[in-house]
Parts: sequence; C-alpha cells; structure tokens
Amino acid sequence: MPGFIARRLLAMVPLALIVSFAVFMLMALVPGDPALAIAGQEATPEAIEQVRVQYHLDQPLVVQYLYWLRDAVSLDLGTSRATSQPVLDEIVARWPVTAGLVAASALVAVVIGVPIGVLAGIRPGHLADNSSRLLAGIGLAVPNFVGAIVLVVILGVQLRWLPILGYAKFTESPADWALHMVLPAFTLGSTLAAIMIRQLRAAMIDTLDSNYVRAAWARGGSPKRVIGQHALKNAAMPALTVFGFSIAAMIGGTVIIEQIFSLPGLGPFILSAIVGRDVPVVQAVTLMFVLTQLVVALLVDLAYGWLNPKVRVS
Amino acid sequence: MQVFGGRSPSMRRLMALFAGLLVMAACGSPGARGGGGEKDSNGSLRIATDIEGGLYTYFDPVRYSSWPLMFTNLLYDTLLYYGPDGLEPGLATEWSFPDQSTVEFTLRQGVKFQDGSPLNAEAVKFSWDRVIAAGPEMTKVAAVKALESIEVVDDLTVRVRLSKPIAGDWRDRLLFSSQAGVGIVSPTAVRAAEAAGKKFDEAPVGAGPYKFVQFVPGQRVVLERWEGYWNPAAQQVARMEFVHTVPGAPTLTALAGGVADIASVTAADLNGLQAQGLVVDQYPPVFETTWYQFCVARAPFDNLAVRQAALHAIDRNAYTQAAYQGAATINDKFPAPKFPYYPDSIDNPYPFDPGQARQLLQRAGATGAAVTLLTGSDPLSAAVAQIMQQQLNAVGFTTQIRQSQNTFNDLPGVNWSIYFGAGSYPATSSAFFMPGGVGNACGYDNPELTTAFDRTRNPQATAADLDQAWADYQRVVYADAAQFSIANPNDLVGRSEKVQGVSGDITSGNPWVFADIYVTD
Repeated sequence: MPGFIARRLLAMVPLALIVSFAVFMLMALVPGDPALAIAGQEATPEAIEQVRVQYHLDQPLVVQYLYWLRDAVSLDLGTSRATSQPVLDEIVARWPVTAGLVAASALVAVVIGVPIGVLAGIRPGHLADNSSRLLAGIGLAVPNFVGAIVLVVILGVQLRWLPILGYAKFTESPADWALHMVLPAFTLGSTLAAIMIRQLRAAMIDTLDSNYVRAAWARGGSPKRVIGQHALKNAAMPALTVFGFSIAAMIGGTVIIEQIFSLPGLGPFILSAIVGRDVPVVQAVTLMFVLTQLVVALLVDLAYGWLNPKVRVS
Repeated sequence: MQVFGGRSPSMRRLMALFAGLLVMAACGSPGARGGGGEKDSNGSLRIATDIEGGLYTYFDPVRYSSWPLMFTNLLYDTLLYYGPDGLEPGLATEWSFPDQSTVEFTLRQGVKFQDGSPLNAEAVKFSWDRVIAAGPEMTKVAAVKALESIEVVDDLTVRVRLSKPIAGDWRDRLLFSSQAGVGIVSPTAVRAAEAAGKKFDEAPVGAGPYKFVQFVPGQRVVLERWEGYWNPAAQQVARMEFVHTVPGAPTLTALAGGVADIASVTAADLNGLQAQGLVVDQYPPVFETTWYQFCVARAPFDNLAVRQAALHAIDRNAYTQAAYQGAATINDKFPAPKFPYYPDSIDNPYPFDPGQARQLLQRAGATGAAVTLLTGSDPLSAAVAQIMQQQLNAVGFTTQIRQSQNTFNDLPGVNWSIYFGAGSYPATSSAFFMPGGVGNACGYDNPELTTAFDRTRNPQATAADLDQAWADYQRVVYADAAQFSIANPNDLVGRSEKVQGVSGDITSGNPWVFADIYVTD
C-alpha cells in the first residue's frame, strides 16, 4: 500500500508538468499584449518595454515557461503581475475557502444522493423511486448558477432563512461556517447528488437482482445486512467513480458559485487573473486545482480497495 | 427485484409540497426597508461594494497599484473636494501651480490624524516620500510615478516637484482623491507599526471622517465616525460597513436581502431593483466618459469621408433605451456631460442622416466596406455593438462584432475598425489619442488635437482658458472625425428608502458625496 501511494504521488509530477505547460501555452495563445495589461493605460512605450524585460516577455515562450518552472520548483509561485503580491500568499489564504466549499458540496451530494438513490433502488416504481427521478431530473437540468440565484431569492431574500452572502471561518465558528455554506454547497452539490441518485438507483436495482443477493436473502439475511453489506458495497463502485470525476467539475464550479455568494476563495481570484492576463496566478491556481483532483483520484482508488477486496492492491 | 412491497406512489403529493414552498416564498416579506423616519445620527450605513477591487484589499496607500477602493477617501480624506463649480478646499485650503511641474498647497490649520498627531507638511512629505521609495512599480498612474520630491516650505505649506510637466493631472485628478496611492498617512502610526514589527495596513490611520475598525478578508471593512474630524457636519452616520459583493446579481441580492443599504449598480440591475421596491438614483457622470475610436491607419476609416458617413449613420436616440434602459445621457462630445468645461456651445456637424451617410459612402467608393467593432463582452457593450452594427449596415457598411474580455489588451493584436472605449479624462485622451499613447494602436497623430489637449492640461489656465481649450479640442475632434461619443451611462445608485441625502455617484467614496448621506430610523 505505501508503495502504491508513493508511485501514484510520483506520477503526479509529470502530469503537473504537462498541465502547467499546456496552461502556459494556452494563455500565450490568447491575443493581446500582456505587457500592456501589466503596465496599464497610462504607461509610456519605454515603461512597457521595461515590463517586457522584467517579466521575461521578450523571451521565447519556452524560456518564459522555464523561468516559471525554476521558481515553482522552490515553491516560489511568482508574484501577481497585477498586484505585485506573492501568489502563494493569496493561494494559502483562499484555498481553505474553496476546499471547504468543495468538501461541503461533496457532503451534500453524498447525504442527499446516497440515501435517496438506495431507497429508489430498493423500491423501484414506488413513491420514493418516482420522487428520486423527479429530483434527479431537476438537479441535472437546472444549471447550478440558476439554482443558486433561485435559492438565494427564495431562502435568503424572501424568507430570510439563510445568509445570502459572506463567509465564516470554520476554525472560528463551525456553526457559522455551516450556515453560510448551506446555500453555496447545496447549489454546487445538487448536480452531483442528482447523478449519484441515478447511478445508485440503477446499480442497486441491478445488484439486488443478482444471484448472491438472492442467496443472502435465502439464508435469512436481515435487510440491513443484505442491502448494507452485500448490495450497497458493490453498487457503490460506479457511483464512486462518478463521484471522483465530479470533484473536478465541482472545483471548476466554485468559480461561479464563489462569485455569486461572495466567498473569498480562489474562484474570483483566478477569474480576475484570466481577464487580466495575470499568468503566474492562472498557472499557480490551475496547478493547485489539478493536484487536488489527482489526490482525490488517488483517494477514490484507495476506496475501491476498501469496498471490494478483489481490487485491493497488494 | 422488488424488496419491499408497497402501493404505487402519487405524484400529486410531491407537486403539492413544491407548490406549498412556492406559496410560502411568494408570501414571504421582502424585508423591512424602512425609510421616511427621523435622521438617525447613530445609524450605520452598509454599502455593498467590491472591497478587493477584483484582486485584493489594501489600506496602506503604498500598496496601491491600480485598484481604487471606495473606503480609501473616507479613511484618508482628500486635499481638495470637487464641487459643482470645481475644486473646493478640503484638507488643503489654498493651492497653486507655479509651473507645469510644480504643485503647491497649504494645509488646513488644526487638522489631526485619527491618532491625535498633527496633519502638517512634514506628514505629507513623509507620506509621499514613502510613495517615491516604493518605486515606479507601485502604481500605474503616470501622475504619481512623476513624483520627484516633496519640500516642506513651512509647517503647513508643501511644494511638490514632478519629473514631468503634468501638474495639470494633479489638478484634474490627484488633488481630490486619495485612491491613487496619495492618501496622507500618520507618520506616528507608521513608525509605531514598524517598531512593533507589524504592517501599517493592519491598523491604518488617516485624517478622514471615518477611522478603521475592522477588516475581515474577502468579507467586509468597517469604519467608524472619528470624533476629532475637522468637519463634523460631514459625518451623518456613525458607522460604515462595506460588504463585499461583486457587481451584478450578488449586489442586487445584497440590497434586496437587506444585507446592504446602498450600492453602485448598473442599468442591467434596474428592473430587478425596482421590482424589489428599492430606489434607484441616476447621475450623469462628471469624468467617466465612453467613446468610440476609428482606426485611421487602415481601410475603410483611413478616409475622412467614410468616417463622416459612419457618424451620420449613428442615431443616438436608439441607444439610450435599447442598450442603457434609459439610464444614460445622450452625448455627442468627448467629455462627460457634467464635466465643468463641457463644450456645449459647439454643435455636432454630423446629425443622424442615413441618406447623407449613403451618399458619402458611395462617393468614397466604400459601399460594402468591411468594419470590425472591437467591444467588451459585457451585456451593455454587446447591446451597443449590436445597435451600431445595424445602423452601420443600414447605410452600406458590412459590420462584424468582435467581443473581448479585455479590449485594451487586444488593441495591438486585433484588426479592428472601431474600438469601444471608456475611461476618465485625462488618462483616456493621453493613452488613446495622443502620439505615443499606449492605447493609440493605430498611430493617430493630429498636432492640432495635441496642442488643444496640452492647453486643457495647463494647471495655470483660468476657467475661461479651460472653456476655450475644451471647445477647441472638440472642434478638432469634429473636424477630424476620428473619435466620437454616443451616450454616457449614468452613475446609478441603488438604495433602500431608509438611506437619504444621496447627491451623486458613491463609487469613489468621495467624502463630499458621503457628507450628506444619512440613514433614518
């Protein structure tokens, strides 16, 4: 197991290199002069030239990338070209907000998706099943930013049940943090919940119809044992795969959700950086997102082993 | 396999539950907005604004780069104020420009910083020496970069020398703003912070009407009335809370949800605000202007007659309602409508006349000429672009729209014919219409316009001189037809009814605007 984890962690390095290079080249392909964005409207041509030299913008693209890589290896992610502030400082300050939002959204997805999906699979064609399909349909059809605004208007503006914007640190007040996270997490997690409902429903129906489950019933197994221990563990495998992939989508979704709910996470930060051609910020934040997804993928693989000993890595 | 038996479900129960939720929502109160009561001098004003300027929040003026923040002017006050008739005394009571590279002013007597230390010439020198020491990277504002030396003439008199003859920029911009990094800080507080190994940013001290209380990153900034301020009549509220929101729906919901009392809003928010029973005030802009620039370096607008044809094709009335939802002031001149030296005596020689436009185009042999509009991707710019496209195509042009997230960045790289610009004087003119300006991507160079512009920036010009200079500037603009204006979006302020006394745009946090704002109980 430690060897497996170590190999997977090592495998992240070349992937991170490929992604960072790809992002760098994509940003370079965007038309326009980054030196103009940095120097501003009131700069002189000499000042713009100075900016080009300072930020190596007069060098070939590969050389510019190597400059960035050299610094990144020593955890110097550069300074923002717009603010001249260290990028790492901003990421350290903002990352917990985004990570918390993703974690809360994943929790919402699991808390909603798993019980409903299982119930629907146990009772196909009944009220629980029909309700679940309606819910899943709505969750999949409605874009998350539309859902966000509707929830804010109803629950925040009209009913005043929940705060409509803002953030509280988890370390200072878990209860306040949770209260501020309800709307954003529900918005971001609803799509994944909908997917998990459908996945689990289908997988449960299929699994409950298998021979080993029939055998378990025949041996007089209790519903808790048969469903919880035998059926669910096998039905959860495809749902777990979807869950792992969806984390990446959720991370991307934080950009919009954090804007709507005024959460001080990485979303607004990278959005401003993309518009302002602030390449160091875009590079660093994208790398952070990619590494996060890779770690999640590793955790999903480890979870497979827990669910099904046959795929456990020895 | 069905594990548990059961009856077939009914969808009606589900739909009834959903409908019940909607009914509850519809019946829910939009929340108390108050208004119409007595002035509450101990009240709080909550302002929805982007406290990060899109990037980060700062309080120390030397951390300024190019992001003005609303609370800066309230924290540090400004040397001068900008009233209906121009400059008025603020922290400074007298000001002069001995030459084009020198600014002199005399500070108001008896003014103290929020820590009780005196605001004097030494404090100004200390503050601006820090700006110089921070280096040219500290700011993108040319007039701040030009700071060369600060001389203490006497206890209250300061002489500032600039490295370039742009004292006019100080008159037109910096002297009535602390947002560009020239806020005057308390030397006592800076030294105390340094001695304690802390940053001044953590506990900033200025001489403004409101002192720093709290900053929660990404959430809010809280200021409180400072009892030692030199002008108590300008402190109508006891506390100001700046709540972080981004423009658009989040600001709208903050106002509607009672999280904020007032905010700068856009025309796109109008319907939503009015539906929520909020008040929207409109003010024609004073400095912010929108304009359109022809690229005179390439076809089709390298031909004066073709440019004139395009101008005759523009029907300004079509834009105001369709694009700006009525929240705009039609403007056929370069400066903003409320600019003190607005040249309203100069008539527009290009009235809307599609027939004339077609004739000019035909005579120039340019019927069907391809035109590319380089515009922003925001809804307002997109709407304006679509209307312009229709109007130009109606007289014989073939117009396509090129949207961009950052049009300024795309100037050198895109083959544009008409560029949509916005900005405030004088930065806009310098950057886009003067030779060597970084926004002058098509190399526009008109010596007459340059001469007229230089006259507008002469700090020693009288009001009559400036009136004449701006009139001459506009005449040249019309004659050359290289740039034009259509309408200026009004500055919009959305507020709950409990907020009264709003007299202008609040975006800049100008103390003379906030001096009259109060809340009712």
